[in-house]
Amino acid sequence: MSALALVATPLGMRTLGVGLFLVVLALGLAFFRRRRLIQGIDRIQTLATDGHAQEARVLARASGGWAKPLVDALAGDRPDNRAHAVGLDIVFAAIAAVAAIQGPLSIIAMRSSAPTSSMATDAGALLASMGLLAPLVLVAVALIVRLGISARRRVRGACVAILVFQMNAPAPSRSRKEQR
Amino acid sequence: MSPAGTAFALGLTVLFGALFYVVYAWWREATVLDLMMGPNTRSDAVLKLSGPIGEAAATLDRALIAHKGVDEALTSAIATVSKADLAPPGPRAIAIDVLIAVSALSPLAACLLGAADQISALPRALEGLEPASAYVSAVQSIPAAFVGVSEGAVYSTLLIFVAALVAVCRYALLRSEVREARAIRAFVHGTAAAAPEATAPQAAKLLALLTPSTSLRPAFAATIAFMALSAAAVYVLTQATDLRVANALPLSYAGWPQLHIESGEVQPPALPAGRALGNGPSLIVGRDRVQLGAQTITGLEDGQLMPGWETQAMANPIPEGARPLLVAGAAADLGTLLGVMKFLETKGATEFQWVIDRKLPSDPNALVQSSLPVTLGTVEESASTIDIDASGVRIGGSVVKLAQLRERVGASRAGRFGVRVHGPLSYGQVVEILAAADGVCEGSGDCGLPGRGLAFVIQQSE
Repeated sequence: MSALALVATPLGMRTLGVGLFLVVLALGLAFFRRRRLIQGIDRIQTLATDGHAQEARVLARASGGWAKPLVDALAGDRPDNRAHAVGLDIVFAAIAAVAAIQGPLSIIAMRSSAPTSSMATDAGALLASMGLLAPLVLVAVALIVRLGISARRRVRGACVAILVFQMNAPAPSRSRKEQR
Repeated sequence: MSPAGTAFALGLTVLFGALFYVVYAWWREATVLDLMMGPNTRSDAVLKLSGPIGEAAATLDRALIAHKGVDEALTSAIATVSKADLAPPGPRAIAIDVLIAVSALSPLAACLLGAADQISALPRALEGLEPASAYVSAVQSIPAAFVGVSEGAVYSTLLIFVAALVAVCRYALLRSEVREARAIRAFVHGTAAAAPEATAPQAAKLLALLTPSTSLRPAFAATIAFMALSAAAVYVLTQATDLRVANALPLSYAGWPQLHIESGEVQPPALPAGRALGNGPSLIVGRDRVQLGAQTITGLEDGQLMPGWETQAMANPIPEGARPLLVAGAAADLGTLLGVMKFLETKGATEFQWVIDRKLPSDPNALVQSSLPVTLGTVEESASTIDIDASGVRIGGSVVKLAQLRERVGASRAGRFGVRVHGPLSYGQVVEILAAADGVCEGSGDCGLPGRGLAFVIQQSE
């Protein structure tokens, strides 16, 4: 039985399926998070460039650590470039990698102690699935990290837009309440 | 070259190609931006730039040529470059990542698939073998399949180091912040060279707020986090997987059946061979009598059968196909044993299990016994016939040392071996030779593994 035929056995398909599910889950979480992040960035930027600086500031403060550069930009300060979302994305990637590889390894460990006649086929199916999963996991990790970096760049773009808008806006546009 | 070696060579070529591309892309952009700082070379350099940096540079170049709106143009150029995502376009970036990932892991993947092939082929290779032989063949074949995986893992580890080098170079030379800083520096220096008299208060203010950080601290923090997570994953795997603990122990078969023959003062020889005991009545040959279960068959005089003993011997009929478990001391006379076996054959016994003691390395106090299956019969002369006499062992006419016996017998691949015994011999001498042919343990100790499952046909020659 060839290695690819082994992947088509029930155990091979199950292993590959579990690994792929974990990879897709991690990618889905990362995409979902990036989408929410971009929605938040766009909303804050729109509010700020429409002249609702106070609302934008409140929303940015309530959005969490990733919006710290936007809070700085809205206050007219230099945005803190270090505060971004990449750290969490790397954690996502690491969880995806460890989960996708840990699953089949645990199954190998459990199955190898069972002296069944199908043990050799089972072990072969697991190894073949791992052979396909390993590069896939690394690609997923790279993709997730790239998503994080792209989100970080969007935060910076929003900061630039806000700062340029503030520089071009006439000074009296700020209300007395805001100045206080 | 092995598949892992081929995959390694291809992966290394691809990764060095990627490294060359990164360094070349950086060198090209840096050179063009340096040219942009010179008033005479600026316009030519702008034409060579593309993407958001090229657009911003073109706008600035037009303003500098017209000597009009320099501050606004510089501010716009800084804002454009600062806002843009300067990473390669998504599909190209993903294609590069896929290429690097597949190149780095291709030796491991190739070896895993190869090991899968080898292991799945095992059942076919073991078909028709005795269970004990199948077990021994399997435990020898499985590590061989994993040797390739180990080789692939080493190659992939080396390639991952190169891939990490590519990633570090990409991060240090081509990440958005670094490209942005390089472009802004070129814009500012180019403007200063082209229009030294111009003031740019707005651009200076924006620049003060937007100077990108080119610190490597996040990269170091990510590296440390990755190493910590990898170490944690290895720790969790080691702790959660019993198999790894089992792998650290020497190979040993500890699942011997609990069946054990109580034989009083008669101690069977202790040798590292034989298969698990099968069911059958116990046949104990002592110094003064021969017992079949609780029944005494005949008395012995100093371990020897007395003349005409068959006529007086007591032996109830044995169930057809019975396989008595023969226990005798190493010093017992082989002639006596063969005589008793011949007698019991007439009563229904078909095969005799010569019992030997095992000393398992995993538990030296365990009472474990195995047996060598022996029948009586006529042995034809062949290349695998074993001849035993007081002077030594011969196979196919040539003298063989005990240590070489397993190899010689193994080469013949026959399951049942003819043994001819010549002259007076002790049971201990013969059983030691048969065990040497059957055993699989390396060295003099008992590794606990069952033997190869050989069966023997014995003929006593005059």
